[in-house]
Amino acid sequence: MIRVAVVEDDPVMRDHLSSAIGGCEDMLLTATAANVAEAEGMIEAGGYDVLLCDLGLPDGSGVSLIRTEALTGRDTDILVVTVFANQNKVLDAIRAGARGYLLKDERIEDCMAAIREIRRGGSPISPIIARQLLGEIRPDPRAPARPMASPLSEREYEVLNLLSRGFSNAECAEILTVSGNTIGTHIKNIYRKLEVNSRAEALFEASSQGWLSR
Amino acid sequence: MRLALLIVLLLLAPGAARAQSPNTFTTSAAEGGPVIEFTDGDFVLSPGLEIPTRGWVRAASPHIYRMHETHWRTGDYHTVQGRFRFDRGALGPDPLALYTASTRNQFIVFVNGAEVFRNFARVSDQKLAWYRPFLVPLPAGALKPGQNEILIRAVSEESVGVGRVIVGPNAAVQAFYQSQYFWQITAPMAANAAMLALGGLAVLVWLGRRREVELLWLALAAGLWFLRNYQYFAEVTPFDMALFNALTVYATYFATVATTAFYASFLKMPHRGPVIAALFALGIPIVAVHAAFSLSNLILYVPTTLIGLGGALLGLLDLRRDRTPGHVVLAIVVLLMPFAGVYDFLLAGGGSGWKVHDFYLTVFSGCIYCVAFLMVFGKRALDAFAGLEAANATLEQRIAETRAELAASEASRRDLVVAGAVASERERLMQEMHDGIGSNLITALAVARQQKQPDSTIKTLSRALADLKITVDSLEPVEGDLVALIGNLRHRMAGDLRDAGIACRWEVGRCGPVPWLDATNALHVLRIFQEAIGNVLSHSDATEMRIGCGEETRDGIPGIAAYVADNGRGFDQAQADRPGKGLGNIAARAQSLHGLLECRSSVDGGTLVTLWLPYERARATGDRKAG
Repeated sequence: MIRVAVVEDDPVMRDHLSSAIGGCEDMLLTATAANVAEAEGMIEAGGYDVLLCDLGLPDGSGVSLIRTEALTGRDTDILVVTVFANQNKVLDAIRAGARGYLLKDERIEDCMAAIREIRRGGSPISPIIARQLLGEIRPDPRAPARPMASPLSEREYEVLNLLSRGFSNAECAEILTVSGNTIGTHIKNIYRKLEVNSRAEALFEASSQGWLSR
Repeated sequence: MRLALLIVLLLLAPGAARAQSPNTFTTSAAEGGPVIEFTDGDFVLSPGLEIPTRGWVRAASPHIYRMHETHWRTGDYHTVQGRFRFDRGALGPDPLALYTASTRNQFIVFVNGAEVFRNFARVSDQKLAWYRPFLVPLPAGALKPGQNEILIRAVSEESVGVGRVIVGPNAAVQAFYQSQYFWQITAPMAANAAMLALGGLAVLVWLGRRREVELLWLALAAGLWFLRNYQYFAEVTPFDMALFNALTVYATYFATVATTAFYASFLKMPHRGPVIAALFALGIPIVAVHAAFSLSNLILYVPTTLIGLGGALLGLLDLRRDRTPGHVVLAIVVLLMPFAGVYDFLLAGGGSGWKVHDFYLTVFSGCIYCVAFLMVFGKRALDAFAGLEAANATLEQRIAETRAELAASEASRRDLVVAGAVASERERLMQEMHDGIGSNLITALAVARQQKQPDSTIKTLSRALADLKITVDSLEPVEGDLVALIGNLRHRMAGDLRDAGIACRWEVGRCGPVPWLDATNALHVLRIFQEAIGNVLSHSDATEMRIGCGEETRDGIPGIAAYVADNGRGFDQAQADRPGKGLGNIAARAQSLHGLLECRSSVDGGTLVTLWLPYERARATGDRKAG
């Protein structure tokens, strides 16, 4: 049973998601929140496996909620609920701790499939996001390289490279002769490393600016 | 008393007998007749002005009575007379001249008893002639056929003697005299004057560069060497003979110490300070002892030579590490100096059997030393100038580079400002689309679905949302990556394709970035592909679609060809007077991209839509730079 919590300010969308989750036999809706204030209490209480989180909330950003959830250290999979899945928003959320995204207009059964998929260990990615990630991992060679706290494995890099060139998960799996699930797992791992690195970088920035005491 | 006189006469008798015979000489041929140099003469020490008739002793010529041999006191007058006899017939018919050197100090030349030359005007002249060559023309009238007698009477307050005596044809002797005069007087004088000037220069340079202490040592050494060498070219002693003599002798020691001090400073030898001080201090007791007990000059020259040898050792050590020309010259000079000193000492009569009239070496060494050092110093200065020039050049280059960097960074800052403005505007638009139109469309779609509105409504709403998504995608910064852009579109449409049961093959080759692919152009590309894929979905009844791209050169222009191909039913291009639905629309978009759109289709043969885009768009065709 997958326990799901939803943070969404649009009541139509929230109901839409809630009822869909309620309608799935393998899922359980544990809580919903319409704004940051409600969501903070919800996160404190916990008790869910997957958190669906909208970003544009009336009283703040969903990104900070995602970070709060990620910092609890629970084994929660966070999915951003987004209209366009544009790279800035998705990457911000992933850096904060999200592991994937749901498109709001996606057919509801696809949304449920994505929730099951993330629980199985696979994350979605678009070519433009893959491309952006690749650019961050292989930055300008002239710029002084900052060692990554969690460098990508060769296979992960390979996967990211293929994805950035427009290949679908299934095609990547075929090219690399692995299962489609494995590709999803790789993506999820890449996201995890991105989060770790973003946290390491934040620490680096902080310590280099003397914000942290010795 | 008589007996004693008799004994003296008996002892002198053989000499007296010999004294009547001509003296021996060596002969050398010259133009105008032979030139003779006396190898012996008859000498007598006599205080009087008369030419003595007795007491003559035949002895080797030159004949010098030195102070340390005679135990005279400096300041007392000593007189020696030297007599040389020769046969006029042995020499040529030309007018004759006499050359003498080292006949010291005041002297008169008589020929057959008649005075023909004196080198002083008054008896009080403090003549200094121990080293000086003289040319004495012998008047024809004073000479007679057969045996002639030359008598030289020399008087000195110091060592006294008759030096070399050469007689020969006037022209030959004069030529010899001139060359000797040049090497013995003119050249040392010039060298020492130059050395003194260089010493002065060193002081001036030192005033500007106080840290270069070796310059002061050099100046001091130059001054002391000048003092020491002044005797070589002075015609009269500038003051009291005894004092002048003492200063000359003592200057040798201190000049050597100063030179060594300079050299040690120049080589930056460790612990040189105390050693130099000790050597200078050591000079004082040596001088005191020498002066007090009228000892041989050796007491000064031996330590001087040892110090010189110490300097030579430094030179040897330096030669091992530094072989630059200046260092080599300096090292050679310091190496040779002690040997030159010993040579000069022997030459001046330190040992018997040496000539008294030759070319002295140490008189030049100081000057060579100064020149060598100033060569090194000048080289250093030139290097410094060159370094300065290079530094200036480097500085200028750096300034130019920095200026260029500044300009570049200013340009990129401006670009960044523009890009920032663009990005922020894009962000605002995105936000607007996301929270406004996007959210509303989403809600509308959700409501429509919930309320099971007609399919057409849902489709319209879906299409509107899909269009909006593509607009958003076109705003994503992809740095001209056409593959990612089309890949993203395909990713977007994957669900629709799956629903339509069309398998999609992604055939992507290596493609470079398209620099002009900004948001506006990206949107054109996306719309073209959206339309093409949409056509496949809606009209083709295809089971498979291929999307791909690869590099392709058309009309010599490199570019990228991207295509959408299906295996659907296609259409007859010949019958279609207009391209398929929406194709006219996308052709116009392709045109505004400066690209080429091709559509190939045949009935049951599928459709292939290809969009070719050049990497570079000629400016003439109107490069639009969307902000």
